[in-house]
Amino acid sequence: MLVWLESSSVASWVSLSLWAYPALLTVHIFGLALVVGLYALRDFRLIGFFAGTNASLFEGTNLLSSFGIAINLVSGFLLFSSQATFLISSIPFLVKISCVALGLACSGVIGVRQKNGLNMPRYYPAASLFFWATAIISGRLIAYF
Amino acid sequence: MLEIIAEEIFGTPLNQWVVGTYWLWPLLEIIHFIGLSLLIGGLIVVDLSLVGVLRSGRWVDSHRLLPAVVVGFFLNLVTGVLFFVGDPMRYSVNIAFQAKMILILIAGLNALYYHHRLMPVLALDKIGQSSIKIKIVGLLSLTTWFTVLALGRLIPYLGTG
Repeated sequence: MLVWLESSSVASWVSLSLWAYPALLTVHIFGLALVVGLYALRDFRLIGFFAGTNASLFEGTNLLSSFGIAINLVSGFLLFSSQATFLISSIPFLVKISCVALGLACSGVIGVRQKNGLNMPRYYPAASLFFWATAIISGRLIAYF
Repeated sequence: MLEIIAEEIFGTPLNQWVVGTYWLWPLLEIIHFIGLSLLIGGLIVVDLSLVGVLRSGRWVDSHRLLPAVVVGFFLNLVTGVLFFVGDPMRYSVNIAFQAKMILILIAGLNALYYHHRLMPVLALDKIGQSSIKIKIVGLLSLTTWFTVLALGRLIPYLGTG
């Protein structure tokens, strides 16, 4: 299936077009800044940083972080398609994808608890920060291992 | 100017240390990415509050996030300088890098203008609405930083080097 994906017309466009790959990388880093940037600040606040701020400070940013998730799922899939067979056996890539999934799960749980006014044990935002940081670290290491 | 600096740096012990330490480059990249997340994540909230898109209380409340922006900026300043020191001949002639540096300068001047000219006067404003000048500062900040982000990512693909 991955061989098929890598030889598909979309994957060839990503790897052969002069601008597709750098353009997708740029979209992907915009999404990273939106998702990790906004979630990290929200998590730091929930842990106890930025004393005096109100939770309402992040109201309205959900739309932006969701937009970031959407563009990174699309750009990530397209980037993956051009190197599918290499990436599927790359340990840093597998760690990254797992951490992205776990980070999204944490953010979902945090979002639901905030919406319903439930208490927020600090290990929720701490876990979210850990997964997003590890996703960045392992994502960077794909090129080196 | 960058090329003169580059020639001065090339061959220095610090240059050779960055080039010769095999784990350093990926470590710098990781820190640079974490720094950009803090910098831009914080600025999105601050700038969109200035613009008036995020209506979360008074716009000055968002300023409590600025420590994260400052930490992110300094992480990226230090790691960025080390990137340049590690490969000065490539960065100094790269058009994306040059444009990125000019935009960071513009973003810095924009922040200084806001902090020293607009803030002292407008902090007294009790209604919590930002003026047109503040909206422009916020919009300029967001667009310059996202362009900085794009240019940084495109350094390996644009221009010479």
